[in-house]
Amino acid sequence: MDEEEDEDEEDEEDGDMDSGRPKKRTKHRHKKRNAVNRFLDVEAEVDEDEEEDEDEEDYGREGFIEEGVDEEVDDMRRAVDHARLNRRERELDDQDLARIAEDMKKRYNQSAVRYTGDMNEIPQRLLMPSVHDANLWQVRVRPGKERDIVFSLMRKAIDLEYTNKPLSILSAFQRDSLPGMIYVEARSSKQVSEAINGLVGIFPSRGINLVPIEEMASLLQIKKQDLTVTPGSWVRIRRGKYQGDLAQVMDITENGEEVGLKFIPRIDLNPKDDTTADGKKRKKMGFGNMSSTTMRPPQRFFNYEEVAKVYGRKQVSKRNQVYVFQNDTYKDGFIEKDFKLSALQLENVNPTLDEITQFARGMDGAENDNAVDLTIIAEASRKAAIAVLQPGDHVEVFEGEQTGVDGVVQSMEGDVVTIIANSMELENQRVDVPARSVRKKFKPGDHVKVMTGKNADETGLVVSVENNVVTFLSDMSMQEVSVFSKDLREAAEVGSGTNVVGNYELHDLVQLDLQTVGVIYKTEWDSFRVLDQNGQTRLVQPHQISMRRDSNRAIATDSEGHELRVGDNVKEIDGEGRKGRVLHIHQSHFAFLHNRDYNENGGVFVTRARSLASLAPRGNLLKAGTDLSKMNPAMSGGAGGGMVGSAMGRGPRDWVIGLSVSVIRGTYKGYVGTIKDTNGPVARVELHTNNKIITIERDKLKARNPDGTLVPLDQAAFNGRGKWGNTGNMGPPRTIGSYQGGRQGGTGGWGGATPGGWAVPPSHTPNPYNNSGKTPAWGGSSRTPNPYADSGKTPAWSAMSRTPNPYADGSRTPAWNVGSRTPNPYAGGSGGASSGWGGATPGRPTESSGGWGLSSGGASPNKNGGGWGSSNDTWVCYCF
Amino acid sequence: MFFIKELTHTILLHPSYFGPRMLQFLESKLYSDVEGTCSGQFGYIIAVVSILDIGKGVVLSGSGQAEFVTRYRAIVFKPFKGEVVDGVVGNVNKMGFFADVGPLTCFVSHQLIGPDFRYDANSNPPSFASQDQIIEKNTRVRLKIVGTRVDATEIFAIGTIKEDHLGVID
Amino acid sequence: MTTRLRHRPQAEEEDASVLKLGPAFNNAGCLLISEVKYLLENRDKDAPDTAVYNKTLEYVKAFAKFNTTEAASAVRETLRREPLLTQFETAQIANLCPADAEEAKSTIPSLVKIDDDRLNALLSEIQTMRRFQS
Repeated sequence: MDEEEDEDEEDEEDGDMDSGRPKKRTKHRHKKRNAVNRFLDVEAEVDEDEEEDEDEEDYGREGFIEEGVDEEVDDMRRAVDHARLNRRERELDDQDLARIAEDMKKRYNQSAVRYTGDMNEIPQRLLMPSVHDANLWQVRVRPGKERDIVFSLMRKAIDLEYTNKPLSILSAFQRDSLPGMIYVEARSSKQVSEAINGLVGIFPSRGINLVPIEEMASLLQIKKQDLTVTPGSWVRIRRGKYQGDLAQVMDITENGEEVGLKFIPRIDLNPKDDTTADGKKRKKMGFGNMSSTTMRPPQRFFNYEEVAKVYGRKQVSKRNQVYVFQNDTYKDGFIEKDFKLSALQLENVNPTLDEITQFARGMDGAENDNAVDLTIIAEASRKAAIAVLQPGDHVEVFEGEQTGVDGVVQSMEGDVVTIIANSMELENQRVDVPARSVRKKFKPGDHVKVMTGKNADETGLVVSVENNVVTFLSDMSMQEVSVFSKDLREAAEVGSGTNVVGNYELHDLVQLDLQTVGVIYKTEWDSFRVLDQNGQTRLVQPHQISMRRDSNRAIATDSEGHELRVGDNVKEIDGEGRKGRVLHIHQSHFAFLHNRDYNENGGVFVTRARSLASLAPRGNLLKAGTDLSKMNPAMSGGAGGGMVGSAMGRGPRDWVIGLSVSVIRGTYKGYVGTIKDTNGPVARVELHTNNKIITIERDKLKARNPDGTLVPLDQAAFNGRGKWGNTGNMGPPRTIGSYQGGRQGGTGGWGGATPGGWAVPPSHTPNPYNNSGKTPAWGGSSRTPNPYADSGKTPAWSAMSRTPNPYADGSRTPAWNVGSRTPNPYAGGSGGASSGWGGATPGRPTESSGGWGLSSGGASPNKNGGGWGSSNDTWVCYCF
Repeated sequence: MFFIKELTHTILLHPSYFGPRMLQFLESKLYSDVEGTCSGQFGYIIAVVSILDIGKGVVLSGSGQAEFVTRYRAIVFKPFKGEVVDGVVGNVNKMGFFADVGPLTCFVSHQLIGPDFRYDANSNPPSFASQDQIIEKNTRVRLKIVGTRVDATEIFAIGTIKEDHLGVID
Repeated sequence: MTTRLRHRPQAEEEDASVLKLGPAFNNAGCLLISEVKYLLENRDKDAPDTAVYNKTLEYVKAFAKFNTTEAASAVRETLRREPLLTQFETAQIANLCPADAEEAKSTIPSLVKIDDDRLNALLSEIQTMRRFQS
């Protein structure tokens, strides 16, 4: 018996090749091991049962008392305990155990804890490492290479064993759960660094960290895994091209390490080199697909014809019912492939209804008989359902004695849920039911929120409930969404979360790559569905979007030659005759329309602007007026450019682009570079030193004058603007939109909002801050001729006023004040509400010429943004 | 359901408006501020019927603005769950139809329309049709509100016509 | 699990079928559609040009059951005779004009408290008024 135990012990240590330390003994001692098991490299089965542990400890204590002190036995046990290290040695030269023991003793002679007693019956806590044991050192390595590095350490140790400089580390191991780290057992960090010196993939620079003693044991604890992989169950693939994809288990190899999976393939039907089919390139391409940076092909059922067309018939062969393509087998549209268990995610698979239905639908889109699949899901979801119950949830009992009872969850203890019943006979009674036999209950009309899954954070009103599938009408998209009731919660709030992912939100026009723009028509948990200008839809992550584009001022021409703007209601004159509201215009050619009535792509569709007709044609007069002012280059100055620019969606160039700057804070402090691009608060700066482009916040930058002095960016940009005065329009792109917004909002600043730049009021004006624009009907404007009050409130103005130079000066220069005092220009324009606004424009140019009065007069009666835009721009041009 | 309700509204008035026309301005401002708005608590404020008390203006120290707490009586419309209302069908699509109940838009899902009605995609305008009835744009329906969603600026409801005495009305 | 215990405000759930209208409306005066129509059409001020207003006006014009103030107040008078009726029920009956007690109780569930015969009498009176208004 003793001997067998002994061997067991060795087995166990074999299993833990990497760990030689005394560790928490976790073996189930009462269970006799199968004789065969000894020869198999099976992971130690660990029982975390408290009771068992206590049991063992009891045994241990007995042994401790009985056995007493026995030095020699102790030494021998010690030797066994570390047999792993010496095993090879022992095999080679067959030394007697005593010598090994001697060796071990020498090596461990510092250890003061004399543990005495039979090793078979050791109290668990005495096996825990103490200060006298060797330490564990954590070493950072290249993630994914941990195992290889441990093996190379082992080989190195073996190689150097009989040299005059053997490695003095005791063991090394790695945990799958801790990527990027290996652990080395040694007495000092020096020994560790000697050992790892020269090995590739180790980052000693990131420190060799001591593992605290109390954490050592837990590092070696093996969590018990009961693998529930059965044919038919669902798993997710952890890495590679199919990362995150749902797969169904078909079969399991006998050793349980590999499983055969069936899932929807992702075949690249647009391979970059489809004609040159030489193996080398193909291989490379396949590799490219693996990396996550490239677009991975969408999930699509295998279609022989399609694939054969792209890759050639030779690439695809057919055997029996199965197609073979690039070494993978495809059956019924699915790919069938063997995977290692470790590459699969077995828990928290949470297959969504969509995925399942996709599976069930099969290749032809025909509904298969999928009852079996759903029960598996239901089973899985039921298990999960217990975890998601919360007090206050409405639940119903769907099995057992209390079937049909519904109520509100009062409390939960383990698997038992206490509910307060609402049903007739049990009204207001507390009922205890097993958690697994209740499910959340929703009724039509409830406002719910999705907690997990693809539709997470979506909210809506329940329209129907069928068993545990709840269909609700999404608040956002007005589409019906079906989810499992377990994923839902009653919620009062309206989910705005899903409408915005990152900086982008629903119906934004975004730049995907140089040639492609698209409109977001659906937001998902962390990605978007985008319809591009070619009518293709794609799934993109926020980082794949290079920027949002503003088409607020974009203009296109419709079929009748009328002006087409964002927000117009239009109709297609050819094709399907679809109606919709213009969301965006791209390059004056493509119009993205939206109409809730169409289910496809969330009601967003793209069409040519030329094939649209306005549903409510505007009067010709107005149109002509608008167009004229737009078309006259003399009048609109840069605005013409602005129009084209915005029609192309590019918007005006940021003035800081091209500036030579210095970084004043952060990692790159002191570096000099050139701004290449800006995006909101960040700028991309090309460093002069190493030709690298970094992305950095603008406030960390200062412009660098040729003489080396630094000035704030805004100011520099402003100076730049002065230089390029006549090259383009000056208004920041957002000027008009925000300006109008401010006006329509009607909540103007009432004086308080007047930004600092305007704080020096022209003293002679009677009502400087009066908010004429706020309530145009009130005749405010007629009483309050000062135009600056209004303008001062618009963001555009405040933005400008932040640029210190000209305005500060301006407000001080007499010319400025003269302008503001001059009553005349307003007299002409004070007729209507908008004139107050228009008046803002002519105020300034009194300095320049009378020609101004004309242009402003032309623009102001339009009362629309267009007129404004032009006059605003013109003004700027005049100013500088 | 329409209600007549006393409500209050706070108006901040800039000193430049202090003067003989101030009351007139306050009234107009009240009308323009509240009419046509919607709050979750009171529903849609459709029209101010009368102003009960324009309030005493209190000048706020610091800004010089005056605060008026105005009491007024208004017609409000608030839908309730379980309420039966009449409405006019607006859009019809295969998911169901939208009905306008005054300012409120109410969606009736196809699942709550009842098995008799089938969506007829080929009809123009699109419609739900049963043996003897048809629901298309501008049909009048009697429906029951089963749930409401209250936003800051809008109320949205879903309704059902899948009960006795609900459905198309002549 | 206790960490996930959250305080949920147990607001009274509004449900018109049991006359729970929430604190703001439980005792508020209800208007018949006909009365709203009258009020909107006889405003001394300009109609505000809001979508809410316009849609409401359109709606009340379409669904007002009684075209004159006399008719509307007569209906109110009739319904006032039944002391059990709340404001809400009064308005619902006048707005929906159910044909009989069964229909009334189905569309306005809280009416179960009223005897069928009495309800029928009220309803037929209202039907008559509706028919003979001019």
